[in-house]
Amino acid sequence: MNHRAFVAGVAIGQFGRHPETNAEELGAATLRQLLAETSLDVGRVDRAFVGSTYSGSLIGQRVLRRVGYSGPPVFTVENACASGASAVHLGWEAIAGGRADVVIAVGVEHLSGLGRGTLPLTAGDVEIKQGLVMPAAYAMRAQRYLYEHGATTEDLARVVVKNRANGASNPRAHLRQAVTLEEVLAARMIADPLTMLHCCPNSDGAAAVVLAGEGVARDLGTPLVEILASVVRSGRFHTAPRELTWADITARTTTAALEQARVGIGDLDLIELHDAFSVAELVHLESMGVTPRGKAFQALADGTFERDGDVAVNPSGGLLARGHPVGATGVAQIAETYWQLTGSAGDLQVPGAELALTHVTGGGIFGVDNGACGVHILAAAA
Amino acid sequence: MSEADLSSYTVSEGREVFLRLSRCRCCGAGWFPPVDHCPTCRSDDLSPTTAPGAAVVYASTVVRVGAAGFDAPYTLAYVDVGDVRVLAHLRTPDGAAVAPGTPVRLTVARIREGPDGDSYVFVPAS
Repeated sequence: MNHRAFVAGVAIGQFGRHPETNAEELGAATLRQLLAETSLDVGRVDRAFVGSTYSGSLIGQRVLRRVGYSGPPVFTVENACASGASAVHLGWEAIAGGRADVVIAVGVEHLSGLGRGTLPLTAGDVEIKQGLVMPAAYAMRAQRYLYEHGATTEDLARVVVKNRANGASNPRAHLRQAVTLEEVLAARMIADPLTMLHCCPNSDGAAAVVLAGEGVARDLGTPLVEILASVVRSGRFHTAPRELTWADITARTTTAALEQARVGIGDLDLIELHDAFSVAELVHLESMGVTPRGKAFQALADGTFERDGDVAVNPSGGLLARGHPVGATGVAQIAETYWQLTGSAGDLQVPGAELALTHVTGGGIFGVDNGACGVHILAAAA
Repeated sequence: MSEADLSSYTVSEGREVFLRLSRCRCCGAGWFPPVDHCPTCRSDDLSPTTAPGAAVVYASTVVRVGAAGFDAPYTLAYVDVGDVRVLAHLRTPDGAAVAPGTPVRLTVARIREGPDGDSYVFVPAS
């Protein structure tokens, strides 16, 4: 039997390009914000997990020592785009398993330090040696999606238009201008059929959350959101043909999370998912079972995924607008969802939001559809 | 890739080039690149084999912002060769992507500058 676990406070640093700073500074600034807003005594924190992919050794200690936390256990967690969700997951496990009362989970990334262009991927990988980059991998998913389902590039572009419109109201978003369908289609081509606007920006940023068991959570006196499910899965490895229009890892992780939370996919009021590229939103929605396979693009066109639709999808703007500081994204999704479920999301508020799912997946290594996927299901606390 | 890698990944018969695979005698899985131990069932009883020459494009794209060391634009494709799917460069006359289902065949060509710039590459079958 798991102990109940709650999100008791959250913070997100401004996502964007901040070449003048570094991961350590970004993480520390966001943690100071979190501790100030929650009035949490850092001496009560039992463990800390920090998700990051490109920040180097011991980024966890380098960030936490700046805010009076040194001595207790610190773990740096690397799981590509699912690094942040993995940090939250490990924190949840510690609380659910009764090993900790208070945990801090952080995600941080400083991609400006890597220069512009596509993200560097794992050296030595047989596909990376062929010149594979993430936009190309998703471009092939896109070509195949259009081919199999009779969708058009306009259908893909509608994902961008929706998420950029949502992000325009998000003060934390990297890109805060709405875009038109025509602008998406006419932008510079990156990997056919995906233009620049179909691709999420490489961002700098950090996010942090306080996770707590029931007793401490009530003591803190902050609004609470309960974690009903926390699941991480790895990609299944083989070199047999794999369907690019079906995210097996998303399907498996979501199914396990729904079972853990004892809710149905149709019960969700909002989903924050991994729209690193436009086509990803459609593939993940279908793989989660939100729509039948091949039908998400039509549901999108019908307004199903708008903020006031049947289920709001990426009401924060998603990766396409908020940006994608790789390791920070999974934690930022939890933070955005916390504000939604506590009714404090301001202009982003999804009316009547009570039940939400967050999803990140990624990691380009050959033979798996993604390296790691993390799904959380969160509910407004009674 | 290095000449050693290229010769461990491919075999030439006259003007034809074939991919080398490993076939697990225990669970039947086919693997490219070849492996000494089956990642699925951990058996070390694998037989070296070659993939059939017939190959079909599953998906393709023209990469316009490429990886470091590669001259963009270049065309990449996932190609189904027997029961494995392989990512490789695709050389088309106009450099464009091709529709899923297009038949292709294997050859060896240069994909990047430098001493180890040769690789297995797909070209249209006709």
